[in-house]
Amino acid sequence: MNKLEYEISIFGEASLLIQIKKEPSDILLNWLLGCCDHIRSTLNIEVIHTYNEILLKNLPSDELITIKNKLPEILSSQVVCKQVKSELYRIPVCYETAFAKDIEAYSTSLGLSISEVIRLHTSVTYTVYFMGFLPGFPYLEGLDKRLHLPRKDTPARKIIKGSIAIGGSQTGIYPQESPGGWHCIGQTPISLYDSLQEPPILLKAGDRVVFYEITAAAFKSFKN
Amino acid sequence: MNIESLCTIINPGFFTTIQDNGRVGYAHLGVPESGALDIYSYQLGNAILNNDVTVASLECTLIGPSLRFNTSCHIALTGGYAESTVNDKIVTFNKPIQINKGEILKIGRIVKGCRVYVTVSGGVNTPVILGSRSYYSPITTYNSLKQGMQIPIGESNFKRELKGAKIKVKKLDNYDQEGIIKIQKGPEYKLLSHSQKEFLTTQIFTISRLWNRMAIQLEEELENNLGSIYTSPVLPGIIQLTPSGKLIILMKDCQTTGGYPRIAKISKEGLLRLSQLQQGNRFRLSVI
Repeated sequence: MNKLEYEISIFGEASLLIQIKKEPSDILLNWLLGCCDHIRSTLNIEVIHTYNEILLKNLPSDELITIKNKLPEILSSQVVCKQVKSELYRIPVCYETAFAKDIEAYSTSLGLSISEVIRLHTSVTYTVYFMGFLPGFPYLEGLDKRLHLPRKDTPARKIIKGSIAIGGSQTGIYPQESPGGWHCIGQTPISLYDSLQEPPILLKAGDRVVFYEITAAAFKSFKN
Repeated sequence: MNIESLCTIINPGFFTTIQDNGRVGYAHLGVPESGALDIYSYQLGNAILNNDVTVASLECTLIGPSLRFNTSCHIALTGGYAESTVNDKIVTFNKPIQINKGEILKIGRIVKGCRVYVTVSGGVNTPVILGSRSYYSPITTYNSLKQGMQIPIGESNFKRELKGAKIKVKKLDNYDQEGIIKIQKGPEYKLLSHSQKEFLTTQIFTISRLWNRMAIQLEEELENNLGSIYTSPVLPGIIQLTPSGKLIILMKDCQTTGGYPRIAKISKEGLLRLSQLQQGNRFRLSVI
């Protein structure tokens, strides 16, 4: 990852944007996480990353240029290449139609049986690339190509908390009730967000997720 | 909790929330920034009452609330303007106002701008969640004040001898004129054609009926074939351009990431002005 090409630009009065000219990958993610950590610890500022961008937020406007000039050195440090610590979470999902309002229409659109959809969805280890959209909403990478389906033309007004959904090449978990355009193929009884915990959010970028199938009865016993 | 140091919401008004400087340090978990939209008026209120700069206030939108104070304290009203009374006597904006125990503050319809801030000496003392008291559901239980709620008030720093101190108030009114709002180029600005760039700086824009603390959608549309981008970081003030041509200005409660091209970013000063504009108000954009 030494020959990484990137561009740093001033974005508004108080932020800097680093755009990396590379497609998302596990290697790039590891580098992004290393950079974010290193920027946070050396400059003590707020940093977020997505697929191939890093944003430095709320910087003092008179230090923008100084920080911009410091960044190449920080980004080229060997520290950013160390393997980032990650946890593996096994997340139970009920794929029964009462918990998966779109699974029938979704399977039909793909020309797959429901059991084939469940098999493909549970056979992959996903990577949490970053959080966005809603507090604690993980963007998961690794969805089997056979499960890719463009998001709905008209978003649903209400997607319930814990829904496992697919939009395009991405799959994610709704940590709270929200409108949304993704196809709901299941629901987890696990809560991803609790503001009284520190950290308040179960998953973090870099973590791995595996889904496993549970019955409606098991779902209810999880809740209790 | 001392039961006397509370104020009671008799009528919550149209949409009143609790706001401070917002949440810092949680954006990487997908948590919006939130915080007072007209941050200048919010800070002015705290300055008038010698409050700590992080103390929370009430942000009132369009029609203000009625509150009963169960303790004597000082308050300040800042931001737009609404005829407001304490026990039916009209009070002045941008000055400390003394409130005696049991008195009722009524804030009317906001006629200048669209947001008024009610600052209380000692501040609104609701629980801090993820570093802030700013309302944002479901991080906070409520998304706006409800009738009958009891809001705790913190300990006052206000001193009589500060009464003579003068604070100069910046004039930010004439909110509804067709004023100029400054923008900086966004990361995807370079994808726009010459005529699309020209549209941005020559058009008079109108705020549509879709305007809230999360985003302001504009009436005017900009035809384009930019498509979407990889989901990328966004900030309050960013102007997104959707494939169908809609221009969306993100405000403080916006998401932390988005997939629409970020063609521009409203300046800090411009955001203050925008936070006092409402449906039907018009403005122009100019690139810094």
